[in-house]
Amino acid sequence: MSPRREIFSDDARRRAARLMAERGRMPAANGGNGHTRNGHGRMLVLDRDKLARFEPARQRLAGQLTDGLLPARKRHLAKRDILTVEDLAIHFGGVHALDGVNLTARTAEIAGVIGPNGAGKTTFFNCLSGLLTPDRGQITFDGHRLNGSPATRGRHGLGRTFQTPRLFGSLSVLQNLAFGSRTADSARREYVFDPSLRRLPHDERGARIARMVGYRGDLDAPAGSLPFGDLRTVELARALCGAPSLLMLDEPASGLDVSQAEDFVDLLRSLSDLGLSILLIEHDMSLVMGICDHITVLDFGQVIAEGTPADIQRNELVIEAYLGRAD
Amino acid sequence: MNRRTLLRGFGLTVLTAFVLTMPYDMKWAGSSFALDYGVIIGMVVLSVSVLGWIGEFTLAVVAQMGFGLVVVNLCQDAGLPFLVILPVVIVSSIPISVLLGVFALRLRGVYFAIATLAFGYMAQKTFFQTYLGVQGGFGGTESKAVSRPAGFTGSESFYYLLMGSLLLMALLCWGVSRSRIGTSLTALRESEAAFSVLGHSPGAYKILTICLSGAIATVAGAYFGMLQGLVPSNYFQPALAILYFGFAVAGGMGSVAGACFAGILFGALPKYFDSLSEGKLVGYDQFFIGVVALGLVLWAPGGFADIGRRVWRRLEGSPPAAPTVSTFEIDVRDATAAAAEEGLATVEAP
Repeated sequence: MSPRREIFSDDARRRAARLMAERGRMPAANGGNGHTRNGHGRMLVLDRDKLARFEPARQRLAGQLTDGLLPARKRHLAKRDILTVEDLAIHFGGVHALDGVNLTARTAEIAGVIGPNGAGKTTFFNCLSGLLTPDRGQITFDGHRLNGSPATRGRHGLGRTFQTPRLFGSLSVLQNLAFGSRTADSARREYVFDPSLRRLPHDERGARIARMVGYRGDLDAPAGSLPFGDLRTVELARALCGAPSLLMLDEPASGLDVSQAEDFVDLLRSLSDLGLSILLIEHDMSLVMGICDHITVLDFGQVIAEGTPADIQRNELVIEAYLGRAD
Repeated sequence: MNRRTLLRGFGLTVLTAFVLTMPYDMKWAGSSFALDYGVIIGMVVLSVSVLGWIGEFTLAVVAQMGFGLVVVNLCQDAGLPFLVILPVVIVSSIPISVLLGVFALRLRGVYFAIATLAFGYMAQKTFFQTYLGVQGGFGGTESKAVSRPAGFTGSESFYYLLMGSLLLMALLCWGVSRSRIGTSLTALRESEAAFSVLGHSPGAYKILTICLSGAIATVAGAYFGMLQGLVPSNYFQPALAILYFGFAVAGGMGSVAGACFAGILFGALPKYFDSLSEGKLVGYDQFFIGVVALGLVLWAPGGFADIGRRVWRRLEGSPPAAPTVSTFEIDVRDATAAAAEEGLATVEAP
C-alpha cells in the first residue's frame, strides 16, 4: 500500500479532484472539455481552449522575439546537462517531504516539476537553492557539486522566484532589480539570454529586463504597491537581473490574467531558446504541457513519473495521483 | 525659495538653538546632570533602534555599556588621553559584537533576544560583579572613579561633549541608512530568503549592524562611567535593557531621530520631575514612562518618528504618506514552517 493510501481515502481523492475541477485547474475526468480515452483507459484531461491559446505564442517565436528586447536570432546551442539531482531526501518529523528524488535539467530547455499539493515541489526548490538542507543526496550544477549558502548558490547562477512573490516592498522596482544586477556584476556573470546586458548600467539594465518580462508600470513605484500580476513579473525580472544559468520558477503563472499568461509563455520559450535553462513548478497543466520539454511528477516526495508532456499525460500513476482511483 | 525649504531652514535653526541652549534653558527644572543622563540614554536607545534595521532586537546593550565602562577605566589607569580612549572603546566593542553576531546568524526574533538577555545575565553575574563590585570600585578592592576628560568636567560642558557625540553617531547611522548598505538592510529585513538567493550574504550585513549597534552602546557605557564616576555592578541588570527596548519602540524602531528623541526625553524628564518635586516623585519615573509608552502604542504605533513625520507633512502641506508595507516572513530554516508552506502540515492522519 502506498503512503498516500494510508493518509487519504479514495473518497477524499475524488473530492479533491472535483474541487480542482471547480476551480478550473483541471476539468473533471468524466465530462471535461477535451476528455479522451486511450487504449489503456483514462488519460489526463487538459483544457483544449487553453492549449490553443498558447499555441500561437509558440509559433510566433522564430521571428518575433518580444519586440526586439531579446536578440532576435535563435541560437543553436549544444545541449548538455546543467543540473543533476541524485537521491535527494529530506524529512520534517515523520513526514518524508522528499524521498530519493532524481532529476536532470538540460541547458536551453524548460523542465517542469508537477504534482498535487504537498507533493514536495517547493521543498525540492528550497533544497536546490540552499534554503533547506537535505538529509541526503547530491546536486551537481554546471559540472560542480552544489553546496554552500543560498547566497553562494545565487552567485553561481542559480536564480529563483517564490510561490508567494517576495519583493522588497518598501524599495522601488528599480532598487529591487538592482539587487540582481549587483550580484551579476560582482560574480562576473554573463547574461546567457542577452550578453549585451552586462555592459549596461544597473538602472538601464533593470529597466530593460523589466520591459522584457512585460512590466509596463512605474519603475520608481514602491514594490509593495504593485498589483499581484506585476509582483510576479517584477520578481521574475529581478531573478533574471542576477544573470542565472538556471532559473527556477515556483508557480510563476498563478495570478496572471490570460493575456499576461500568454506573454509569459512566449517569454519563457524565448529565454529557453536563447540558452537559459528553466525549472518550472506550475499548477496550470495546460501551461506546463504546452511549454515544457521534460516533466517530472512528484507525489508524496517521490518521483512517480518523468518524460515528455505526451508521456506524462498518458501515465496511469500521474492520472491516479491527480484524480484518484475510480474504484 | 519655496515653503518646504523655508520650513526646513526654520526648523533646523530652532533645533540648533534649542540643542545649544538646552542646559541653560532647563536650569529652572534642575541640574544639567539630568540632561547629560538623557543624552547618554539617547545613545543607548539609538544602539537598540539600529538593530531594528535587520528586524532584530537586543537585550545585551546594558552588558555592552558595562564593558565600555570597564575599558574606559583601564584606559584611564594606563594614562591614555581621551582622544585615544574613544577609539579604543569602539574597537574593544567588536569582539563582543561578533560573538552576539554569531547568535544572530543562528537565531531570529525573540530567540535572538533571549540569547542576548542570557549573555547580559552571564556578564553581570560573573564579570561585572567581580570587577565592579557593589560599590563600583574597580578591581573589587579599591574605589577608582572614572573621571571626565579635561575641559569637560562641568555638567554643562560635558553636555556639549555628549550631545556632539550623539549627533555624530546619529549622522553616521543616518548616512548608513541612506547608503547602499541601508538599502540592503531594508531588503534583508523584508525578506531574508529573497535577499540570500539573490547572492547577497545576510550574515555579513547582520554582523555589520550588530557591530555598529555595539559600538554605540559601548561608547554610551564609557560616557556613563564618566558621568557617574563610580557605577556599581547592580546598574548593569540585563532587565534594564527591556526598558531601553521600550524606549526604542516609543521612538520608532529603526528611526535614528526617534531613538535620540525618545532616549533624551525618557532619560531626562524623570530626573527633572524628581528635582521639581523635591524628591517626592522619586520612583514614579517608570510610571511616567509607562503612561507615555501606552499612549504611544495606542495612538501612534510608529512612535515619535511617526508623529514627527505626520506633523512635518502637515506643516509642509504634503499629502499623507501611503501605508507602509509590513512583511512577516516564515523562518526558512524552520523545517516545520517549510512543511506547512508545502501543505504538508494540513495532512490529517486517518
